[in-house]
Amino acid sequence: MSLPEGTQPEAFVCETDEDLLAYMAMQGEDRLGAEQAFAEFYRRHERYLSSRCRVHRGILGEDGVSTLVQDTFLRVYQKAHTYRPKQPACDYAPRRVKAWMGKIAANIFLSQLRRNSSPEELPDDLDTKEYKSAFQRSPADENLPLSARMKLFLAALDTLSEKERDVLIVSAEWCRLGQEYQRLPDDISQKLSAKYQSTPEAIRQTRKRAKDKVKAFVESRENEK
Amino acid sequence: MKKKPTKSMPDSNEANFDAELFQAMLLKGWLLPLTEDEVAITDRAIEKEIAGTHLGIPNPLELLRANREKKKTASPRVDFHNEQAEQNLAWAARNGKEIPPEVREKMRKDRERAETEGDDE
Repeated sequence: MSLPEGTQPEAFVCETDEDLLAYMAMQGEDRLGAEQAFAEFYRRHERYLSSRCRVHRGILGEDGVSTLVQDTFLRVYQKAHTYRPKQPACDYAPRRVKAWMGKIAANIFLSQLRRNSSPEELPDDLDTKEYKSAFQRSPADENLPLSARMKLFLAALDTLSEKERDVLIVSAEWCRLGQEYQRLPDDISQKLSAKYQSTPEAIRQTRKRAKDKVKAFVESRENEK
Repeated sequence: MKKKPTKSMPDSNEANFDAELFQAMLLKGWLLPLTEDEVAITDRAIEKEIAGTHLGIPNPLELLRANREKKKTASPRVDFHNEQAEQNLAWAARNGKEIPPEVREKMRKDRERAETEGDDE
């Protein structure tokens, strides 16, 4: 990415991500400073966010991914004042900022899927809402090698078709936002069924089939041993 | 005796399987990391991938500027007390043709009458 001449945000290169968000939060008082802080934030995270959002290109298409990235950055700028740094400042602050961006992107992703049939505003609390994670590892476990069973799961995912993968991804993103054990809403199922020239009911069956496929793969390999 | 219907909930095996599947999807980079732990796990997995990723979207200041422009277009606010704006709209309504003097005079009287009635209320 290259910025136009005269807009290189040199004044902000030494600031932390959390400081940049604090500058952005002051856009009412100092718009120029807030925009330069945003430019630096964007420079640091554009590749990261693009790579994360590209996992949804199967569903959104390349243009949709680009829109998702841009909308997420815009939302970061608009909602910078809602970011809550951990006190006292910790070594994990950059991860905290990325996690916050992830929540915004995940919400916008689902909102994009629902846009055609339910054009509603994003909820105000999306950036501060707590999410539970299925990851039970502590930071101390980070460098431990993957278990044999987890390696089988990873191999099993490679056997899924594009359609199965997309349905599983959308379902997982939906469940994480507090919708656990609930079916995909009709508008999202319809969007997926339109893409795959299928029916909403068939999409729900695809989700079940994908999970069964992974389970069978893992169990059969474990039984071989 | 008729069995009481219960809400369909996954058993613990099913829940464990779902949690493992979810972890595997995160490790694959299929899901957006939403917590610090998830970011830590996926960061290591995607380091190589990030190096080649660039979508070529506009520069950040251009993005903010475009968003401001979009908002202006989405909700145009016209000051109807601004005579120039009113004139422009009237001309636009006539496909750019000049307004004849008698019509212009009628518009002026209509506007004065409307303002007078508004003041009386």
